[in-house]
Amino acid sequence: MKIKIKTLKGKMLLGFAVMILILAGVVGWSIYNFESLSNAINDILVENYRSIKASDSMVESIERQDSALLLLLRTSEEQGQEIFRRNEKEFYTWLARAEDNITIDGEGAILEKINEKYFNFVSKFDQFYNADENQRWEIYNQELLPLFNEIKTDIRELRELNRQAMVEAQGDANSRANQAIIYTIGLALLVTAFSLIFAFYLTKQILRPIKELEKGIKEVAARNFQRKVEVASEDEIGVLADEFNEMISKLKEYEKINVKKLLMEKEKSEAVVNNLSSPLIVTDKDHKIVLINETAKELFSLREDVLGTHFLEVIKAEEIFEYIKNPEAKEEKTFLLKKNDKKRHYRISTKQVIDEDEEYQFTVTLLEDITRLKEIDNMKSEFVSTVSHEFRTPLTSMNMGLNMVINEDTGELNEEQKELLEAAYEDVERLTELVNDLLDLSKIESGKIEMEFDKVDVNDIIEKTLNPFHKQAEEKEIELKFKQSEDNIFAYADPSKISWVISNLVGNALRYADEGKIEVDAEIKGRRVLVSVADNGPGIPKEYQSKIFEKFVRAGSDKEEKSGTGLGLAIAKEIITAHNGRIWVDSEEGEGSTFSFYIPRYGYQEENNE
Amino acid sequence: MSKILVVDDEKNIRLVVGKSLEKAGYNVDYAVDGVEAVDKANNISPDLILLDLRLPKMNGFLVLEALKSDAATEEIPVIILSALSEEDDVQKAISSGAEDFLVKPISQSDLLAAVEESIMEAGTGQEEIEEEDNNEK
Repeated sequence: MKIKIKTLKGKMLLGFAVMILILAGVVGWSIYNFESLSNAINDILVENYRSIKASDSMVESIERQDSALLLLLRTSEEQGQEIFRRNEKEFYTWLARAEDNITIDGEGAILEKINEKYFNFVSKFDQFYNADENQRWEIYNQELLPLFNEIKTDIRELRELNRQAMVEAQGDANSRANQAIIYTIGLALLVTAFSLIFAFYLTKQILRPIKELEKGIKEVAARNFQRKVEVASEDEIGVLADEFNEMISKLKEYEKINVKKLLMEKEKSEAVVNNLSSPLIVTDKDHKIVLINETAKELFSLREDVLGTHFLEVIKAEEIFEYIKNPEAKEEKTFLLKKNDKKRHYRISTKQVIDEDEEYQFTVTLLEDITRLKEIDNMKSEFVSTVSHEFRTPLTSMNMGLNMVINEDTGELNEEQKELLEAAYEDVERLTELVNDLLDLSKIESGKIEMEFDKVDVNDIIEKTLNPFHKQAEEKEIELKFKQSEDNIFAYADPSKISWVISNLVGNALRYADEGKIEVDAEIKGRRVLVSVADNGPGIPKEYQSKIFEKFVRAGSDKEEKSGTGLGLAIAKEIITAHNGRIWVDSEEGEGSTFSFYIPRYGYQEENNE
Repeated sequence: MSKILVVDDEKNIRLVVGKSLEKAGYNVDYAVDGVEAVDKANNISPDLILLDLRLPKMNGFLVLEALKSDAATEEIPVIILSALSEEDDVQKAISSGAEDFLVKPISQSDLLAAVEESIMEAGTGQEEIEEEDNNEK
């Protein structure tokens, strides 16, 4: 195809046009064949038939003339001549026709011979006509009859020739017809084959780029952007392929950028994780290790390939596993782990990472080495303890000295002196209290105070603890009430420590309230015992609520004479924590506060560290 | 009149404790370190020793040990008066033979009550010792 057809539509139209053209050619050729065949038959019939007709007519004429001769021989002069002449004319007419219709080789020669002999025959007739009766017989028998027979034979020859030509022509027509049939069939077959090939070629030509495109799309779907679709055609599919290739290269670029970004992010986070001085382990929802850093491997002395294995399979630390397993409601927890044969303290913290589809779920566990912090904390406790001890000796002399002077053991005092010295004495007592609290706290913090856990009747403890407060409450016109809403509440606790906590809470409530009431109650809450001390005092501002359990934090406006040491709640928290319990406050400013703590219920202490 | 030996390196403690005891009617003598404490215990044979634990030259525990291992002084009741209040220290002092363990700071009344109790308790046995002493003389 010399002309470049660029569109798919054009290609298809061209295909159809070629088909129609070929079909038209076949039809035309067939028509031509039939036409020529029918012409041939016509020619044969018309020409040869005419010659035969002429031959037959000539024979008839000459036979009549012969009859005319015989008439003349039997004296019928007039009639005989007239018949002869008429038929002579007739003969010549047919001869002329025959001569006009020479179609076969040899026909002309025969006709010339006939013409010549007939001229002779007619000339002899003149001789015959002019002769007498005897001579007439002689001429007839000698001359005319043989001529007559000769002419007849010649005419018959002519007729035979034409008949044969007819037969031949018929055979020829037959064979031509057969030939035409064969040619037509052949051509039809040829055209069909060609059409098939052409249609096949065209379809293939159209489909090939589509296939190519399809392959390309499949590759892209499989995220392979390396392959380009090779379509040479410039039709719609070619354009599509070009656009497709363009799209692929853009995708490739995009993917490259994305992959690069991802790789960078990955390397970055890996670098962060690996350079993290704290052990870090990431586990999936089946607790299989997804990521672990060098520090963690070192800590648990793990070999290289632990990824994909279950946490417990490689890290024999069930306590830690238990912690990881229960991601909800976690309180800070520390573990003592051996590293290089040295015991170190680790604070564990976990973070759940859940994607939007909740398809994956990771737990990031970070073990923070707080040994140094612990050491510092211990140093601090030690320091506090030492300082407190150092305070005690001077406090003793101050306390006793003042006491003696105030008691007037050393002589009488006037009112003013007494008042001032009493103020000093009061502050010495406060200082003493502070020092004692500090020592208590540092002892509890450093674990030097042993808890003596036992089965404890909580109602009994509360009752006994409240006893010394009733007088104080009455003086301040505060209603101190123990609700005792439940009987037989038994906790697993150190009674003196719990009593200390309750006493501290009630003391605080009394210290800060001017009037109103304080309600103490205990309840069983499942596996725990809940103790609450509620007052309707000034309440605690929100910003202080989480801090008041820290050391030296006092909420709101302390009035001079009400100040405590600022350590009571810190000690209370340490005590409750040592019980595996929790202490907290609910408070609304101006509405009052409720301090609550829970400790394990007796009989449930085994499962209390959930 | 009972004689009490106050052992403390702190001048002020010696002063206030001594004054308190004197006002309560006791005879008071002083020692400023462990060595002096052991010496004085032997020399003046007090009826009671108020002993600090943190002392120069010889600490309170060693003094206590020395006193209790010497026949001449082993019967003298010893009350520890210290700023130390660790459980271990208390246990150690009591098992070494201390009568009582008072933690500084202590109020005058508590101190006097403890001293009185100790002397009363020892008094019953004290007489016997005094008798023995007299016999020897």
